[in-house]
Amino acid sequence: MKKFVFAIVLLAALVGCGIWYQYAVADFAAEISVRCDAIERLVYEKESKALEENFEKFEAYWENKETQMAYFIDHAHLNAITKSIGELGMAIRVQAEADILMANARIKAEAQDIAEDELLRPENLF
Amino acid sequence: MLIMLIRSALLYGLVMFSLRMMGKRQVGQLQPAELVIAIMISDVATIPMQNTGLPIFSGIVPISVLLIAELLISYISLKNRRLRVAFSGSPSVMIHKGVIDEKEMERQRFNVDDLLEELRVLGYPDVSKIEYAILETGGQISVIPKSAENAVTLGDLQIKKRQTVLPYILISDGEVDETELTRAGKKRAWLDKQLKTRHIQGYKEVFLASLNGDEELFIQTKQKRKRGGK
Repeated sequence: MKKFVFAIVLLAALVGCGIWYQYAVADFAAEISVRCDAIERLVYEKESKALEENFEKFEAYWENKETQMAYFIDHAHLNAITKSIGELGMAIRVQAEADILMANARIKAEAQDIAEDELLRPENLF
Repeated sequence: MLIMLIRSALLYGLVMFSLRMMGKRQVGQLQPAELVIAIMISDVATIPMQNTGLPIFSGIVPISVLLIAELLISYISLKNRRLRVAFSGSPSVMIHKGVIDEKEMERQRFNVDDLLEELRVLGYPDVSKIEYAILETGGQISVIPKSAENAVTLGDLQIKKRQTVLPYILISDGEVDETELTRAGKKRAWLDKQLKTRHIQGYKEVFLASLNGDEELFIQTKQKRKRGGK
């Protein structure tokens, strides 16, 4: 009976963590998307000062988020985003608009890929 | 390198914990469902052990799920006979009242050579001396020989013999087991006296000391190791 109760508790904990993880991944992808959209808008508006500030905040957000996500997500996916953020920072510093937009789009797409791979959908189940 | 070491140790601990939770039966006689889970657990654990790019939870979660499945299946099987049969199968009678059941053998995909081989391994080279042979759910065959082939027991001869009592292991590898000593109804002073009469200086010199139901104390001292020998 003790083992049965242990199994039920463990199952409940896993299901709970699984549900939390679904929301966490969806939030993460949405947050990245919002931040990337903001950067894109600032590029078109030629707000270079605001762009730099925005990027700094984005970088800080990612440093914190990457550590959390590394417990659950394949590190290769996270490394790809880190690399793209590095490229985005470099492009912002030299004010190469085309490179900024390209790196920004890549980050957004990679975050969407993670969400698409991890969310509970029939195509991911089978 | 250190990452791999720690991850391997963690996953090893988890696999060992899971197998211990599944019970002792797991190691000796695997039921079909248990065999599947044991193989899957060992396989799942090795992937995040080798690939440090994968989060360790990609190993922990499947192992936990398999452990839950095993615990739930064994609990449900314990409570419900129908489900027990569904998960573990039921024993098959291969030889019934001295006659080989061909249909049952076919159902179990067991040929005559397999059956004869199993019976020989069990010490029954002659099928005519077997009344029943049952293929158990764990894959072993149990044999009930014909009455005439049964060995005569003390009970048949109405001879009374004292029940064998499991000996108490009082000292193992130089260490006294206080629980066993209490269970045997003895005290340290008694043990010290016994060692003294055998000219043994202390517990550390004793490799094994056991006391049987007839109050006979067996003591084996440790062998002295030669130094610098080939």
